[in-house]
Amino acid sequence: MPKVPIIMPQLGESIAEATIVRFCVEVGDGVETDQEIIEVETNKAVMGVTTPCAGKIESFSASVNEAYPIGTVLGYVEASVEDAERLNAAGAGPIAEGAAQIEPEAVPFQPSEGARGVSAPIRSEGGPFISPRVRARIDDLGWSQQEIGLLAGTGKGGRVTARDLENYLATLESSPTEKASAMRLAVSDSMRRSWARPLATAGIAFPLDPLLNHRKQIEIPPGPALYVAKALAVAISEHPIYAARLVGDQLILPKSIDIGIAVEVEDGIIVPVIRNLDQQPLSKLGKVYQDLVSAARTRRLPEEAREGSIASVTNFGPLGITWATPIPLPNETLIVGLGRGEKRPVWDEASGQFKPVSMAELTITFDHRIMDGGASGRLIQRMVTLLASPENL
Amino acid sequence: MSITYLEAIREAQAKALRDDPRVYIYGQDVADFGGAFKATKNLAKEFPGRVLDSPISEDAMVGSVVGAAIEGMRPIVEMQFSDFSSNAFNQIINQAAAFHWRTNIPCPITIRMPSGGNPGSGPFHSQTLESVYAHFPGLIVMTPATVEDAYDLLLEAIAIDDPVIFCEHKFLYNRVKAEKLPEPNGQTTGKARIARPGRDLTVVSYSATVHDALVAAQELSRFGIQIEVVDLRTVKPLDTETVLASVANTGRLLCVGESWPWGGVNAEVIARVATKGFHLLDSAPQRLNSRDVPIPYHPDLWRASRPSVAMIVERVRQILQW
Repeated sequence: MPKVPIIMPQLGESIAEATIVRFCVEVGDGVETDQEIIEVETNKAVMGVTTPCAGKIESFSASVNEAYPIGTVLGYVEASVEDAERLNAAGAGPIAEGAAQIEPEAVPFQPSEGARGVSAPIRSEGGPFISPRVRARIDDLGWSQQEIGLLAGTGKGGRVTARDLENYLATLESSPTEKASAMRLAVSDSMRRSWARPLATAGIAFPLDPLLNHRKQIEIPPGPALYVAKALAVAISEHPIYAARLVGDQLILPKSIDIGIAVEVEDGIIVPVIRNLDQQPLSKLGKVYQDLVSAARTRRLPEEAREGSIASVTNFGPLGITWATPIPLPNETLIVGLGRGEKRPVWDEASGQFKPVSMAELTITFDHRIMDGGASGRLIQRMVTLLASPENL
Repeated sequence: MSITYLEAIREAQAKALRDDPRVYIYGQDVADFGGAFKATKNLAKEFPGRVLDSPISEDAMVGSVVGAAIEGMRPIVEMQFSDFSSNAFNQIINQAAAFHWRTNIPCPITIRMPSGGNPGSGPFHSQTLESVYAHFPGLIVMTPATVEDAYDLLLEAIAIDDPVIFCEHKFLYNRVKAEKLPEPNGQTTGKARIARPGRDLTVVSYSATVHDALVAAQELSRFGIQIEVVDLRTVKPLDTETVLASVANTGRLLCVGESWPWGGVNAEVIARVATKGFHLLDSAPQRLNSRDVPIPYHPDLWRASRPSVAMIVERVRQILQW
């Protein structure tokens, strides 16, 4: 049968211990609840210790004329299972004899609903909170806050905890690494900032022959990219709103039509800027561009060519790419991509058959906050019209 | 051989009386009766004339020992319950605490405060006042949780030239035992110890609640959670460095103490960690105190009004889920 301890109770506010005067019952006697079984004397009065429950006296561990402090076990009552459970659950504090104070039905630890095993948070309520410790760690590592956005967090609302971050870093430890160059980091930062806008891309194919024929007459012939850039500059000069920037509720119109041309350099790109391109004669642009490219490749661009473009052109044709969705620089709102020229069958109504025509794709990426599909279509059509008569550029 | 917390306190006093003729003990019924809790049992017989009964006036008791101390004695004054020390408040904070600052004469008194509750002890026999006294400059406040620290720290308290508030916990008197007493090294004051190492969360505690925290730690380890338990040992001066090092390790903090929440030791630890260790925290620091009510008489109400092992376990789990 289970046993319940008989404990020296708190007999008065300032009582610390009491002396046993006599035992009112003997081992083996049956007892009821709250029956006085031991007489004790404190420095204030003679008082009684009562049974915690009904049962039978199992043992006494105290002696007459000895003093025992409050909380001492004086003996045990053999009791029913229900009484034993009830009293042991409401027992003394954790340092009392025997077991630790553990809830009868402990619920196993449940991790938060975060993102265990899934590569993205299932719900992201307040996920973006970054604790001071995580922020300090990111600073140490030289990361931007955005990099945390790529991690699945196990914290509340999917937040990335310090532990998540350390686990992630541990997985990186086993991979071989190379240090990113300054150029790489610069491009990375630039593209990250640029991507913060809603960018959309529209495309059109146009015939290359007019400009291919036109450039044969020029001493230092400008490349097709320059024709596209000049066409873009002229089209913008006709409607400057195409290249406006949105700042708050203001549309900032361009002061001058400064167009950048993307140049591939080691481990990145540089975009030298030709100022007032709408006013530059096409025949001179070949030389201008050559100089800019060599200057860009040796990092010796003159001040006015380094930055400030409102739009740019990128020619990925030489790489074999037919179309792409380029990303403008953060300070630009437009970028036109020129793809590889190739012979394509184009329907000729007059002769009633397909004819081979050199075509290339133009893809224009624009900031959709400022420009919609319609405006981008009109801009691109204007460029195609201009490119059909390059002698007017 | 095993020695209880109470016996360690008695042994420390005996050793102090033996080693230093300037030491004497003053308190209510400390002489022949041996003290309400028997902390000075037989000491009056062993050291005649060095263990003296006082009138039932804490104000007079502390005033008297301040006078003796500034004349070169090293008195230990026993408050019967820490709760009654409020009668001596003016003597403690305006005489003892400030004396050296005002006059350049040290006031080396040790005030022993039996602190903490038992079921049924009620509002005036259960208080833990360490944060009240820690608030005043000039006082040292000690809160040992173990037999060894009770012995070590009491000896240091008597040897220190500043007035020391020695908060001994009544619940621990006969329930905590050790194999033997340590060799005192005089280096324990102001240093916390790691009672249990862990990596998931830091629990900072002191006095009796350290034991609750250790039981909670065992319970939590069944669920794979390893908490680090820091025992402050001395509340003032507070070992901020050890606490910060622990939080640097775990990133999370829960302060647990038996006293009331307002302006308590827990609040002080959190303020320090938030100011000096903000970048170490992965979640908001938390505290667990007794409820902001006078301490109840009824055992069930008493138990519900103070931090328990179950409450510590629950709070730790909540913090880890954040």
